[in-house]
Amino acid sequence: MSVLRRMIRLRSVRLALLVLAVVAVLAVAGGSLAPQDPIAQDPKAILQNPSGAHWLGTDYLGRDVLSRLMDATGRSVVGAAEAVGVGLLLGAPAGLASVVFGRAFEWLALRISDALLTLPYIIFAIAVTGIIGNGIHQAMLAIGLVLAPNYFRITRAATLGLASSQYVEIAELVGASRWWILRTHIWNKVLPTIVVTAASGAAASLLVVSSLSFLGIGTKPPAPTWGGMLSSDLNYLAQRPWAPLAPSLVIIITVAALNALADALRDTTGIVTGDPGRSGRARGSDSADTAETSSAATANSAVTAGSAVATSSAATATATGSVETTTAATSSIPRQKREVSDV
Amino acid sequence: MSDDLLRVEDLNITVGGAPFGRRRRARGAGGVPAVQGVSFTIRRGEAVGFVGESGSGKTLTCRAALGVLAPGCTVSSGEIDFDGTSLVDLPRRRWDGLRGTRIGAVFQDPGSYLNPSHTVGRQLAEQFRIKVGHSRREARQAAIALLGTLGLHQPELVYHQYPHELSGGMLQRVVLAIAVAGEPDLLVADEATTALDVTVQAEVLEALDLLRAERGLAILAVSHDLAVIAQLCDRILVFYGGEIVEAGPTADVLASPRHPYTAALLRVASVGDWRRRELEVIDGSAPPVGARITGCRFADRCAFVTDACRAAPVELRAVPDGEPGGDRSARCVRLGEIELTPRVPERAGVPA
Amino acid sequence: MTTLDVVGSGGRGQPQPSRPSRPSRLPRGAGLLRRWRPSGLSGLARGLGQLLAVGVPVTLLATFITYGMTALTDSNPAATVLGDLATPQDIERMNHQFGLDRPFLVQYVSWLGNALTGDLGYSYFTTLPVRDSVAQALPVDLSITLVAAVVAILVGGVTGIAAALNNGGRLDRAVTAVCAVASTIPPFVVGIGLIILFAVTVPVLPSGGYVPISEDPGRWLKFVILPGVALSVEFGAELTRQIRTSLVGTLRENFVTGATVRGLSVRRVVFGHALRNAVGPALTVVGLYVPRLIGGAVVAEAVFNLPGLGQQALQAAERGDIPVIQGVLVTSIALVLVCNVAVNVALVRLRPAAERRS
Repeated sequence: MSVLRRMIRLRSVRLALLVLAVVAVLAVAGGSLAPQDPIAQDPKAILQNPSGAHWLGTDYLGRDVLSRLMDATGRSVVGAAEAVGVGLLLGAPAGLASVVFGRAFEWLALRISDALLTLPYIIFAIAVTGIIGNGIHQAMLAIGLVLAPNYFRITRAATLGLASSQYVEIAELVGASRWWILRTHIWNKVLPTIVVTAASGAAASLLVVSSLSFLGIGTKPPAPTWGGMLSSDLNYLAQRPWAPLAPSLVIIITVAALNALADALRDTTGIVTGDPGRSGRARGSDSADTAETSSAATANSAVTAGSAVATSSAATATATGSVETTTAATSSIPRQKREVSDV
Repeated sequence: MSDDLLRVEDLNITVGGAPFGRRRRARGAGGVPAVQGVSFTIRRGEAVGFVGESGSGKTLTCRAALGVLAPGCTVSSGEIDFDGTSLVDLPRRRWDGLRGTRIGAVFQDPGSYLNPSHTVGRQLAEQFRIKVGHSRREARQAAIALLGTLGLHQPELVYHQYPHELSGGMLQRVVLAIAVAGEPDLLVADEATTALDVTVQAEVLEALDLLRAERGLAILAVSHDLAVIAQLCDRILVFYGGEIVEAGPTADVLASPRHPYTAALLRVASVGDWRRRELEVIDGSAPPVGARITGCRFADRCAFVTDACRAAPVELRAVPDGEPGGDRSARCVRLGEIELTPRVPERAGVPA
Repeated sequence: MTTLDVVGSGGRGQPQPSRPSRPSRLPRGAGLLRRWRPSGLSGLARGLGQLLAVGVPVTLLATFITYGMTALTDSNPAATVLGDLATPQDIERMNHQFGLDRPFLVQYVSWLGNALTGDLGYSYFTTLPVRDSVAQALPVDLSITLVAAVVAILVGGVTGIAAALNNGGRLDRAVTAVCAVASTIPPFVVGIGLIILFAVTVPVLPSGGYVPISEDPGRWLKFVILPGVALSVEFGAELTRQIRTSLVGTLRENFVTGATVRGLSVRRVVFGHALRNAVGPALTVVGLYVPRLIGGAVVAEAVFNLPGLGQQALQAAERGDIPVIQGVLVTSIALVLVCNVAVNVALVRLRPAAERRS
């Protein structure tokens, strides 16, 4: 695709893809590539600093830190992917459907989405795992549920923008069925938006997964996770104050790579996902509705773990204007023009 | 204290340069010239009008005189002198001292120049409080009084309105009130009546006349509507392609233009000619901003063009056979040679 | 010196067609009505309306999910509580005591009814009222969330404004870069970093523990400041970015030029005029970040060993103590809703003009 080709030219994208490639490899084969057994304990070599035998030192049970890091990659990455997947699967079709299937469904979907948005994600994850069982899948289900509203809103807003555009009107006039319209026109246009959102959502999910594994949710010791390693490092800060550096850096670098990718995607495809603009009115939407559409568009940028600034475009930032949330009836359909978003 | 209020000499403004830069001079670097060699003087109590098409440089000149050039635009050379103070590279603090109390401004679409979150009264009272030093109560009373003076009915009610609740004409008078609250010596009115319909326009012009009469306010009016300039201004400057092409007392210039562009403008505006049925235009279009043209910038559209016109830059020359003390000038190589059909602008009124 | 070129020039210079001119007279009596602006009251009414429209489905849904999950599991709290030696009669008796032998919907409705009056049930394990343990743990989370919010708003606000005023300059680019980096650092990493810096390397602040403010404000602050700062980083970065962007946009608007041309100082233009219009999106961010802050507080509790709601929930989750879990969840949802209402009301008061625009 030409988009990929354009993106590859950016140095940030190449760097990000390199990092993610390494992460992907480790995710699949981390355990076997590791120099030593991640769960082999060595009581004689506890809490050692980096040395020839252990490049990143050992933890409080004498396990090799480097190996544990590599082995943990898969767990964290797969978890994050799961969460994003669940969110997408639940949110995106609902967003599309809410536009196409009439007012009752729309209202219901909006209320459910609101409801999910106010759930504090970690407490909810704790609750879910506490009741259903402490496993990675249950935890990711909870996180996916909390992420779903974002994908719902974004797809809904993008679809709203398209649904009132002319070629869809014509299709309706000609008598095409809803399914056909959905499939043919809207999906092809909405898909890029979804991809961009998923990319930045992946970064956010990774952070969430790390937080959860830090708390011990969704982990099965002794299998290592990045967050879990940080948690145990915390207990032995006095002996090894630099220990947290390794897992922290790994998390940060991966998240940064994902963010950079998401930003590059956003810049090259010109899709505005996080910035409500002062565009025209939404078709027949009530003020509370548009309020939520606009607040959710910012919700996406709030929940996704930040996008790095558009690189060269800081000076040409498009003004966002102010978001009139609760009461004004100006809508905020993200325009699919070639705008560079600045958040 | 001299009679000259605003003196502009050989002003050159470039646009499209770098919007940001650490040092003042770095900003605007690399732009193209949009205004070249503009010089004029406004005396106390005088009303001067700028006419010309969009892109002719009249708005840029005004903004330079107000210190609100857009990022990337900068005065590359020349002098702007306001009552002894040079306005080029003036620090912000000193601008704050001048604006509001010595120089005021109103623009087109007055509503957008007001804070939508505050009532108009509050913004007007703010001027009295901050700029004139009134107390809160005094400011409020002064504000209501001024609104009444400018022709607003029930000013005490208007005081509590938000900008979006008022009509265009009312807003323009509010903005006018804000501009003159500090009793400035010069008012810059950039297309102040353009977006208003004719009856409202008349009311606003009436308000301006009142201010001139009562306070001796000098006015710099910009418009592409010749009728407005004709009614309001003592002297007129015609802009084209970033230069002044003709200058002089309004009545004289409109009665007997000396530059082909002015004549064409008058013909197109058909001020007072109700019998004409076709739309008159000037063929061609104005040169793009920053285009470097040797010779006369109007040459491509001029009916009287000769080779001499394109040969070298044309200076602004005094009209040789003008009335004594008339202070007329025009930028034409063939000044005095060509006879331009005079147009006599009647007062805009419905013919019998 | 920083380039404070708050000119507000250019930008939206497009001429708008004039409104149809209304007569300059206002209807008689309208003045009195108009002068009394019940924006405060109607704003509050609006906020409450929003709360009802959103809050009711939310609470119903979330609690229903929580309750519904118990139906999905085959966990038997009675058996867990009583242990291996329980006889079936014992289990049945315990179930009846817990009310677990009633139909599901009846259980749910009765629980909900109780919750609305403040009765959150009793812990399966300690048989203490859930309300008490929640009431004890809540101030901890409120403390660090409050500190985080204050720090984030102060630092984020100031930085965002400074960056906007310096738009395109060095400060602006530095701030944007720092924000981008800050958003990638998880709060617990920040927390650990802070501990390393301020508790281990330079032992100035404690690395864990808590003391209620009523007991000893000084020590309370010491315990609360590190977790609060750790929480504030992510929030602050996002806030900075939002304020910067929206202020940059607002500064380009015509009314800022209008204010400048009236001779108002930079300070007055920015703080008196521009900021009020630019704050809207930032406030929205604040509102949306509240769930994240509350969630982040849970993590901060783990890092800094604070006895808050998160710890309660974690312990309860380990033991399958469902009433406590539900109590914690409902409490945090209530917190989020209250914050949302506050934010909405604030937004309405900030933009009375928008409120009246039809």
